[in-house]
Amino acid sequence: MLLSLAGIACRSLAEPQGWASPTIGDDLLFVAHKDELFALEAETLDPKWGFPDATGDDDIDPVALYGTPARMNGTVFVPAYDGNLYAVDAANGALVWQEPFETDGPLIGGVAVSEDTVYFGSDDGKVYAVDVESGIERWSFKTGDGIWSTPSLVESTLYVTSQDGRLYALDTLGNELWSFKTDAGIIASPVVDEAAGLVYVGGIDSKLRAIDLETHEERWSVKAGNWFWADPHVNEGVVYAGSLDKKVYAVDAETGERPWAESFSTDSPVRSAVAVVNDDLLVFDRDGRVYQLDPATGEAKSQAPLELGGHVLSDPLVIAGETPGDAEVLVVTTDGELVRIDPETLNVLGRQQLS
Amino acid sequence: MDLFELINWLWTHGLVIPMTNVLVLLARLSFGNFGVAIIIFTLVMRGITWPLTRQQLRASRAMATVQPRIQQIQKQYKDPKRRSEETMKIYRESGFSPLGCIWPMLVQFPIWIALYQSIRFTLGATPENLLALSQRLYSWEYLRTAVPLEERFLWMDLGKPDGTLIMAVLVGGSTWIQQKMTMPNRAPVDPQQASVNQTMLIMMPLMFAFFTLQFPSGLALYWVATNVIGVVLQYFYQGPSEFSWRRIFSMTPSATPAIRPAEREEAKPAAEEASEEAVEAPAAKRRRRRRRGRQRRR
Repeated sequence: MLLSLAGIACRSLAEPQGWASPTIGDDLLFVAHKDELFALEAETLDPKWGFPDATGDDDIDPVALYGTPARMNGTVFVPAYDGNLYAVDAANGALVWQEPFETDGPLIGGVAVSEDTVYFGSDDGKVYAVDVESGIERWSFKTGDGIWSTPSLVESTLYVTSQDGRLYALDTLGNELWSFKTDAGIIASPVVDEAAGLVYVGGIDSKLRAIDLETHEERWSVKAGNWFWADPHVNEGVVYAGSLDKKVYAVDAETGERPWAESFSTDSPVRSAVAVVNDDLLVFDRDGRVYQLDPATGEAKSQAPLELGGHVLSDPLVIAGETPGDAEVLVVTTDGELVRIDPETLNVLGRQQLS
Repeated sequence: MDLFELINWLWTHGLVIPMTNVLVLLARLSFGNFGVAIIIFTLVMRGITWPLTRQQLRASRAMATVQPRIQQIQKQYKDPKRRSEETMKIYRESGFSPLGCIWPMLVQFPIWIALYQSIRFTLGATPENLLALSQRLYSWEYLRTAVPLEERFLWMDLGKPDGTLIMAVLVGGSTWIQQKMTMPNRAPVDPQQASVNQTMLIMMPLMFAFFTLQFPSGLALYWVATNVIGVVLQYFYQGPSEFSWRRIFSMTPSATPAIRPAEREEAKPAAEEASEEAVEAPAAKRRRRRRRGRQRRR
């Protein structure tokens, strides 16, 4: 009995693995696997540098990368699970700030960047605004619980969701403009639809809500069988969102009506945001299946989903080509494989192991 | 589904998932305080396993009662086979089963492992854990909207090992006290057995204190709570007259038996019987020898 207990004791606690989504900035593609960020040439996918190796600082241990990095001018901002926000030179991966900006909790969401300020939330429950150049805090705003989502900056308003169950609208000085309370915590990021005058929020109360930017009241909501963790996606007046109940929902942004006869069922929970490319809606489930749907009807276009062979928890990245037919979708599996997919044929165009 | 998958399925769906849901429910009922939920859970578990605990306490008391007779036998019989037979006879007569002390402990073992897994999932300390939890909660909105739970309790982050050593000391100390209370007062005559007991007395608290440094402090909280409840139950079951702080904090079992008067009376005839047997045995042998000598002379 004691030996068995000792065996379990020696097994480490579940380590965070990270699922940062790929992103593109100018001529560089940023992809992450576990605790490493790789900058690849966007055209050739040749590696240029890797973080934290390129910093030359052996003491940096990001632990895991969940938040999507963001590039502003020549700097890449990397939120890490070790609680630090790193500013890295896009040209060579060297540290831009002398010291990373330190918070009291893991950074799980991504960042929103303006010309002079980078905004992000921490599991310590605070929203931070940090000077892009110096890495010095401009202000912080305390919410009631940890923040795992990426803030959304629209004009001069910052929208942030918190596990305290609220959507906060803040001005760029960190003052609360208004907030909306849901029935449980929120871990998905808010998505602002300026055209419709709405902000969409999916939550642990299993509801996808549209909140009016003018009245700050709920316009409509859709109830799923499990939490919404995937960020909603808006395309041509329709909101698409996957849920952990293994379904994808489509809702008319204006009316809240459901354009599909029924929600689309997947084989495993959907944590990743959907991608709309031309006339195809691509859905990625946790177990690495890619479904190609008709965005208008929600019916599968292909007979069988594409099997990627690894789990998918990050969001896909759509790379538009010169012509609509040249578009590609990039996704990183939890095994650290960068997969290029043709959204039209659902064929794999290439695979690259990140290391 | 092969056997391993079946066992895994039963383990997950029969123990870990129900336990996880119960913990989340208790946390919800205690206003999101997961530490309070673990303490209530411990009380519930001790309530469910009370018949086993009672059996263990009875076995411990029976062990203490028959200890003088066993010591007598160990002195009296040099032949290991005979000694073993006589010991088993006493066990049978007194209704004591050595397994009665062990198997309540064994039943608790899977509970610890399942609780360890449940705490990991329930606290959702990492995004992967929270994602896994979403698939393990029953589709009852009251439960589903309870997470994420508050990880802080007193000075601890219940999802991580306690770095302050306070829980390690509490777990080690409470394990020691509980062991001392369940151990027979009189040291076994068999030096090997005495050595094993002494090693266990020291090693068990040290091992559990070491585990506390590795496991989430939520599990350590369960250990402390379950040990404290065990000590209280033992105290009231045995009666305050048998409790002695001096004995608890002594490194060795006391030389004098601390059996209740009633048990002493029970043990006395048995011991007297045994000593009479010991006196009678050489006399009977002498009588047999004289009889055989007379027969040979004839």
